[in-house]
Amino acid sequence: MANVSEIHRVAIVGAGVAGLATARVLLAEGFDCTVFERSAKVGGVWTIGYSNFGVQVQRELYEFPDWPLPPDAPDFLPGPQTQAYLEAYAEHFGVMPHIRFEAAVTEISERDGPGSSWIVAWEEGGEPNSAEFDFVVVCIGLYSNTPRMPDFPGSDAFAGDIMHVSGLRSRRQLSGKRVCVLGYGKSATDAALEAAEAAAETHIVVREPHWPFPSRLAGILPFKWGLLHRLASTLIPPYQRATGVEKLVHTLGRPSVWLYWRLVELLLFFQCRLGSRFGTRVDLVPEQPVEIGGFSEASMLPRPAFYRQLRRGVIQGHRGTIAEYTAGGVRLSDGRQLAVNTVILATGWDTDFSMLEDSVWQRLEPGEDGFYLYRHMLHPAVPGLAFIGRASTVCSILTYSLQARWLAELLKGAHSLPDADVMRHDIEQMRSWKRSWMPPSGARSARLIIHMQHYHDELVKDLGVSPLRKRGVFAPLKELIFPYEPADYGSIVAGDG
Amino acid sequence: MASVLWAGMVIGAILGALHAAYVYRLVADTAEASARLRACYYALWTFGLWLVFGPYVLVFWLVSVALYAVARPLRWRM
Repeated sequence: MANVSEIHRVAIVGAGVAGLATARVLLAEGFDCTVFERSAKVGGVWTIGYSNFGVQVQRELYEFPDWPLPPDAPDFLPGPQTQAYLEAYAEHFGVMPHIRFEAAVTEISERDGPGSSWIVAWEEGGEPNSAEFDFVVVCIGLYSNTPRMPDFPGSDAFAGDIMHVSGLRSRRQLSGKRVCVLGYGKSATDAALEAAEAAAETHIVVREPHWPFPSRLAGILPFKWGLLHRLASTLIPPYQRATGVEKLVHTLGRPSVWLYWRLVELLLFFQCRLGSRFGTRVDLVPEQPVEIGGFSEASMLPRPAFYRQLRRGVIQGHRGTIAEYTAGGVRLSDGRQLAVNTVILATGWDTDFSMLEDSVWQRLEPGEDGFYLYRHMLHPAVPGLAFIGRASTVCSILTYSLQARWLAELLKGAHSLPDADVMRHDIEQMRSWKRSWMPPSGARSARLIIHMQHYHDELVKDLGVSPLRKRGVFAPLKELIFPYEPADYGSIVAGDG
Repeated sequence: MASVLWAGMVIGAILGALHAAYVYRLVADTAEASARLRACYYALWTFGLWLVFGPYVLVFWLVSVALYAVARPLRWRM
């Protein structure tokens, strides 16, 4: 990386939430930013969502800390409204003129090896272009737009349609069809609900059930009150750098922590009626304890209607996977045949960082669970390159905004990085910590989920600001049991401390 | 009943004092103005909460130890 005082021209790849948050902060600090966006609109995933897709969490958890949602915005904001909100944000903060739309980055390479400037090559209007930048920020999220399509045998014989969930644009596509949805994440349950409204028959095939987090605990309390405060973040598996209090809670207090999570499981069990016998007489009780399983790749907040439709049999549940396609449908791993003519694969997306020059990619040390970064943003072996948005949390928009502010302060020289060896040690510690308990997945390196409180605290402390953001006479009590939300960090993200 | 209450308060006071010291250091360590005053306020709250809720924490811990002792050898939900 060039000396921070020599960094002026910054390339930002992607104009989704992370890219916009990064551009907004860096532009405000006087950097010359160019944002490359391969589509014609801002919003990333929010421009290409499947039918009936929207935000999973309440409105106050999915807004920019320095740009609140309009007062009339509903909870669980639908995708198109979210995209409009992002567009308004980009307009308000003057990001729009800096975005090159329909400009797909094809290669990011170092000009003269590690520590030099960067050459960004892109295609725009069918023409190849390139330009030199002092710093590059990759903001393409955890996954690419490449659908993950499991290849089951017999697809040639299958007479119906096989589609990835991203191809489901309208429930009319499913009208009168006999549909089988494979998967059990947010997109799978959404697709199954869409099919239940329009299709003649709906099946969902679940390989491994996992704990759902209802939007309201016991149907009353918004889930943030149960999970997103400091007390709850003390009870989850201890963080990479556990505090003294957390160490005590997880040694002497271990039985109480264990009992607390069993009570949470009991609540989820009864609320979602996971013990009900669905479809082929199987239940949806996960094997993993909730405090571990909650960190799996498919943790989600399903719509309440999903379990209602399952119990009614409108959606028929099956445990297992698709073994093969047949002429008249699919055969499941337990031998059962489903007579369906449409299969929706809600199996996620593959990662694609092929735009990075191979030598750069290798230095990031990619593994089966992705690549690990210092503070989830930087790698000491690749100076001058940052990733914003490679941290999966419950409040992603807040996390990305804090990351953007942290990076802006770094580039301004307001705080500095430790030695490369210290960063390497930190990365190694993070890798070992996650691999010691977190369920494996292709994006485990980026997963934080409820550990976001610890992560946000670290970022804020790096900026020299108190991580305790609650205010008022009852602030100490609020710190313990009140959920943290983007609004708590508004002044930090805005650069006012 | 009374002895559980007293035991809980004593344990709460001990843990509360340790936790309060930790919280004091955490808050006082920031560069903010009046950080020490704020730290004292937070520490007092921490101590007070432990004192009040100590008996409940103790009972919850005793119940959890009993259940954990049964569940652990069975490897149930571990």
